[in-house]
Formats: sequence, structure tokens, C-alpha cells
Amino acid sequence: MLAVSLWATAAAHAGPLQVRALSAPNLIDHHVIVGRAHCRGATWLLTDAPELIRISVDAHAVVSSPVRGLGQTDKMWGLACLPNNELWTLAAHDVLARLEPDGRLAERIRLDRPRLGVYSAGERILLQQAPTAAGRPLLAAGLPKTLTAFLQWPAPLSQPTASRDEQLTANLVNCGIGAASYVPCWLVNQTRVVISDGSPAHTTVQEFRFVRGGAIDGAVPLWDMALAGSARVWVLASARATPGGRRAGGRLTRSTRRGTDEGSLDVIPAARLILWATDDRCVVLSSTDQLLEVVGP
Amino acid sequence: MTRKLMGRKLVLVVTVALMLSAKPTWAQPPTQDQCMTQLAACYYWAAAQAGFWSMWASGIDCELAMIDCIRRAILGR
Repeated sequence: MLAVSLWATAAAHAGPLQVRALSAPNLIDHHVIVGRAHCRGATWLLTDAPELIRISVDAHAVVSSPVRGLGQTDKMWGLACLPNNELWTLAAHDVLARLEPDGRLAERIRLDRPRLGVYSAGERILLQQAPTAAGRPLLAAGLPKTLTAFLQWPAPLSQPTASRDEQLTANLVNCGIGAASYVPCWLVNQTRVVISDGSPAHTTVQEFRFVRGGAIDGAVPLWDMALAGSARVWVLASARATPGGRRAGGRLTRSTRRGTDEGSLDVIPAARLILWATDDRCVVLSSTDQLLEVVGP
Repeated sequence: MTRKLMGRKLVLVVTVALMLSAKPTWAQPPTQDQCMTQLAACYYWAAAQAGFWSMWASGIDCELAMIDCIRRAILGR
């Protein structure tokens, strides 16, 4: 009876999600991660060292390669991976560049105008455009070698703002890890997420209200997200920034695509970003650069 | 070198010094406030350029630098 009572008490206090370490800390160095792309069997990170890092899903093996072949004024941002394992980044605002797995910059494509970010979208890449006027799509999708054939992504749309500075900052987009050809993207100061494959008929806008339920950084409420299969989403809310500290993700929630909370936990130490996810588990990189696996019931 | 040209170079030097002072000694992204301070300094430098087109192009460069700074501050992981 006592045992049953103790078990019941423990069950009542245990969260539905559990966390375990998959690696020791300091798996990678502490440079700012400027791009992340998930490909078959691995997640790639690009840092401002600059370094290209591959973390394998099965063995959790980490391979880091310095990026070589950059121009003097290049400042890389974003990372996208195509199904043929091609990796693309923005070497500059107007240069799309292909990286070899060993970090060598193998190809440069001049863009017709400045772009602010690059993400994976199934068999295509997504490029973020600078906002020009309110109500315009902020993303376009296509293949790197056919830039003129890029198609506007249905949403998010640029928000009206009072000044040019605000227009640039309020219309920054972030995209999470997609599943099949669907990608979750959002304006960084909002909790409304667009999940789309590029077709307006297959585009949904979902408000993840539970994100605002905890102590978050109001400027960046939604820190990261990963679609898992056709029905689930892992949502990493931001943690409240410490004075002079680095921003990070705090509470991780498993949700349905309709925004129903299926369980959550506070990731400790805080999470830098999500590396990969399936229906029942999600692996994050902690702020101590350790792989943490969060497992659902 | 004329006094005007020297003045412009001084503004540029001050701008670059401000940007460098905002750069952290370890891999810490800048803060949004630092980005806005850099933008204001950069606009000041752009306004000191000779000729409309030069000022305009410099202003665009300032905005792109600000976007880069902001996205590192907000999206850098």
C-alpha cells in the first residue's frame, strides 16, 4: 500500500517527458551557431569560427571542419541542405555558396538582391528577402541554380512598422527543422507559426499559446521548432535572458500541429537549439554543448 | 588633405572603433542595443559621404550591417 502510494506520488510529480544525456559536455566549441540544417542521418551546424560541424544521428559522432575558400568580406549566415546532401549558405548578403562536407567553399552564385537567410525546404531551399512593403511574402523557394524560377512562399508576410529600422528588425524570420517538404517558419518576435510546403492549400498558421505560459524572453518567444512526422511538433520556447548572458531555449514542449500541449519540461542546462526530432524523441544541443535527448511517454 | 576630408576620415575611424569595441572577446552575439548604436554611428558616417549616390549606397551598407548584427543578436545560437 505504501509502495503504491509512493509510486502514485512520484507519478503525479513526474513530467510526461524525460531527459537523458547522450554525450559529454563540450562536444563542439562555443562559437555562435549561424546556421543549422538537418540532412539524411545527420545535422550540420555552421559557426562563425567559421566551422562546419556534422553530428550523426545514430552514433552521435561529431566531425568539425574549418570553412575554407571564403572571400575577405564574406560573412556567412544560414545553412540549407538539399536531398542530394548539397549544403548551401549565404557567404554574403548577395552570394549563395555551396559548401563541401569537408568545409571547402566549392561554388558561388551571385544573387540578384540582398537576402537575409537561407533554410531547407524539402527538395528546395528557402531564401528570406528584405522586407519592402507590408503584406508581402518574406520567403521564396527554389533551387540554387535556377534563381529566376524561385516562387514566393505563402507566409509569413511582412508586418507594417513605423520606421525603416523597425521594418528590418520586426520582419526577421526563423525556420525550424521540417518534415518531408513542410517547414515551420515564424517571425522572431511572434508565437504564430506558418507550417507550409509552399502551396497555399497546404499552409496552416498555428498559434502555440503554451509558449507564453512560462518565463520567456519576450523579444524572441519561440526559440526553435522541429516537425516530427505528419502530426507532431517539438517547440522550444526561449528562456529569460540573464543580464549579459547568451540567449537560449528553456521549455521544450511536444505538441500536435494544432497546438495541443502533450507534455513539456524545462531543459537544464538551457538548449542552444534542436538537432533532430522524431515523434517520440527530440535531441537538443545544450548550452554546455552536450547532446540531450528528451523522450516522450 | 583638406580639413573636410580629414573630418570624414575621423568620423569613419570613430565608427570603426565603436564597432570594434562592441565586438566581444569571446563568441558572444551582440545585443540589439549595440546593433542600434552601430547603425546610428554608421548613418552618421554615411551622411558625411560626398554626393547623393555615395551617401545613399553607404546608407544601404549601414542597413545591411545592422541586419547582420541584429540577426546574430536574435537568431545566433
